[in-house]
Amino acid sequence: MNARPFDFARGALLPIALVTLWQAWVMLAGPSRAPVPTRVALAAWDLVASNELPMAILQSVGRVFGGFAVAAALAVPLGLAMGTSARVERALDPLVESFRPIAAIAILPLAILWLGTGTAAAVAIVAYAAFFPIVITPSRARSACRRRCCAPPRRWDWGALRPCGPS
Amino acid sequence: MAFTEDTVVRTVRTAATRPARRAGTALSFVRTMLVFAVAWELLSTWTANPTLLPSPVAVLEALRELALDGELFRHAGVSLSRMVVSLAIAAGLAVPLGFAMGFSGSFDRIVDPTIELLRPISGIAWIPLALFLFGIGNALPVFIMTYAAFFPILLGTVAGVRGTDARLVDAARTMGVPLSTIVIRVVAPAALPSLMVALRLGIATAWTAVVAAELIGAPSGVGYAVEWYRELLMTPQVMAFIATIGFLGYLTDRAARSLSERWSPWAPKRSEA
Repeated sequence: MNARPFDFARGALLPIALVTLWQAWVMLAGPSRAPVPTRVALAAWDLVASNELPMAILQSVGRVFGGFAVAAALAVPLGLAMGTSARVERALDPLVESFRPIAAIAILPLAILWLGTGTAAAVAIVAYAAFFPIVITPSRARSACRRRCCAPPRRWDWGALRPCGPS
Repeated sequence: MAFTEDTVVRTVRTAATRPARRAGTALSFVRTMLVFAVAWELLSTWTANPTLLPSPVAVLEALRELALDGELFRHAGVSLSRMVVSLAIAAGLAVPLGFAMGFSGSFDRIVDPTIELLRPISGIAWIPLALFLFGIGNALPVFIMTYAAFFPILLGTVAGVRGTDARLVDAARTMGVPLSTIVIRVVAPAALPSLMVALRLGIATAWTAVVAAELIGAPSGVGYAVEWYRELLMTPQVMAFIATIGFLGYLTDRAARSLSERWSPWAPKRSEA
């Protein structure tokens, strides 16, 4: 029980040392425009007090959930179709695997071109990034299951929202 | 339940039809891509706006021109060499640190909170500050990529070192093997599979970061090229470079995977599905 505050202090040691070093470096030798920890803290306080930072956080979180919702709405049915039907998987797998290595960031110029700069483009990027991990999971799970010599779940129990079948 | 007749039959059948299945995979790949290309072509004719959605033929043409021109290879070479340099730096920093953290619990408890404080900050978020510190040039993308690749490599190394069979280390210690030899002969081989996986993750995150860093803060590289052609509204070239980014990402991952199979053949393999 006594170890806890001690652990915390030990963990805080290095960050505090680094910040002190940073402050000392800027005050003694740094360029005049370099940010100082004290000024950073003041700016952070101002941003919170003026409600600018909380609003920005809210906006970002909204975009994350919006993008994820779009991705899930597209990827969950598609992934389930690919995971349950070998024919669907054979047909779509080349497409998925061709686009998967393209980083979401690389799509940014196209997203701006098509959707302009704003929430729509941001949501599209998030959705693109979240789409691939979701869409490949069911078929990966099925092949992992097969490797362990058990029959893959063939049927999807819509009542219970889970696969059923011989296991 | 485990080895029924059905299993045996299935195994035999799989072995017998493997070449045929491979040909079938190639066929379905070609078929899917053809359907995709035709759909794209139709959509682009329907849109009738080559800036918004050029036809696949125009993109292939742009790809060919960029390749013949040498521009494609120049930018790709710059980006890839930046990635190699920053991976080397990241591994050079993260692997020794990871060994130290994996070995010494007290060292780990001092360093780990700082690592966990910095790790959630994505490399991309450092771009504005790095722009101020380094300016536009080679240093910025290398810094961003090093930062991005550092954490996966570090965590993988720590996990690998911790996962070493303690009995092997104890046995070596009992036999009077010096610590440096234990590290090289016992812990390093045990940690290598995990380390190679970590390296692959590092490559993937670094490649994502390089594109972002070059979009903003470098006068060359594939990310810069994408942004350059977007500003000129030359969409076929933009798409050609995006395809190149995906292809290079795929290639580097493949290279890392074959390297890890060569260096750590004792690693548990993910068998073919």
